[in-house]
Amino acid sequence: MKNDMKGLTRFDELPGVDPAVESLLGQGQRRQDEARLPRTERSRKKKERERAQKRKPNRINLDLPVDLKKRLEHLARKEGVPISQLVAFLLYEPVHQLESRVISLWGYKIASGCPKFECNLDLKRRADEAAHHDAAQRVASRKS
Amino acid sequence: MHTTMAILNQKGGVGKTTTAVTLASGLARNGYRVLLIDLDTQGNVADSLGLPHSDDLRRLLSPDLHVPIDQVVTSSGLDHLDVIRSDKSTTSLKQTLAGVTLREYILADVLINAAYDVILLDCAPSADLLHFAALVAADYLLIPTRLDKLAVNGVRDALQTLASLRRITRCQVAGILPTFYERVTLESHEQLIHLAQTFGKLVLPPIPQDTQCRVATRYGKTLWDYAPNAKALNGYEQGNRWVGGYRQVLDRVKDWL
Repeated sequence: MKNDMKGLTRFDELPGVDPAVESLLGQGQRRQDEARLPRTERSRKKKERERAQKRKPNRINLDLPVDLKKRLEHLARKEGVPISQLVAFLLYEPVHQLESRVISLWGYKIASGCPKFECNLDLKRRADEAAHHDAAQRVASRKS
Repeated sequence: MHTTMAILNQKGGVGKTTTAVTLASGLARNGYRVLLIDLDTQGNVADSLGLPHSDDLRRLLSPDLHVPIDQVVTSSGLDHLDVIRSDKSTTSLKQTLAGVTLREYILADVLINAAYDVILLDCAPSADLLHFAALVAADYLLIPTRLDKLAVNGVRDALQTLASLRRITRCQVAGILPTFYERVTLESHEQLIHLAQTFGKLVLPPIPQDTQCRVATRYGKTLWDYAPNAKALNGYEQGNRWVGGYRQVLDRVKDWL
């Protein structure tokens, strides 16, 4: 056991303890550490923690182009299914194709100014191509 | 063949009776045939289960009465859970037993053929004759402790008592159960670290401080019946799981049986 500068006991050198005890001690330690932070920082950490706790492991937030979102909503309503299930249904095939390199992102990648990601995807080009492909198919079907 | 567990701490007010009643009723709800014996003159086990006080223990252990165990056992009103109650007469019992030879074995002898899966002994907060008899009769010792200095000293005393009886008992320390845990107070945190640092894996998941325990006792009901969602039963929510509380402790206890 060792004491830090404020005289608080830290538990990072404990021998094997029950996982539940360890978990509660970890939580207590975090509370103590947070108690020393300024109020704004403390409330920010609290909000972050609450957000993380609410997050389900199978949930992601996506930013979709507005028109695509509207089309998905319309389809989901029309088919009477949840939109998240519709998106999952539609994604299986392209995800498999991307994994097995049947399709690639080549040609759609454009340099990103954001330090977090190397590239962004040119979604407008993808949307135009999809619309063009759709129109071509309609013409072909009319001719036939 | 039954497993006997003594619940003991020489310090009072640490949650021995609440622990004994909650674990006994929890095991009974899981289908174990459980006998809960009150070794305390205050007779709080009867209060906790909404039963009247009785001199069951005196009748069972008095050397001149020789009453068989099945005649002193009372149904708790819950399935699979029987009790042997205690009252002020236990004080005179202790005086009577003081002159008996091999008195430390008296409880072990009467329990030898008891037809139960688990026998829980709720001990008094004092180092008396019944305290020693409980340690001799028990296979396991569970030591509830409040998370304050004096109660933690009580853990040390209990372990010293067990060590002094080492020649005549096979009892092992099964766990140290922190009770009245308050996760927001520094003192609880510090004492829990102290316990974990000293006793390692013997320290069981703590029981949160919960007023429902006292209220349930007032109504003579077990926590499982009175407040099944009580913090003392379920522990603290951490993300998508629950930590601490009697439910988790019950799972640990079932592993020992």
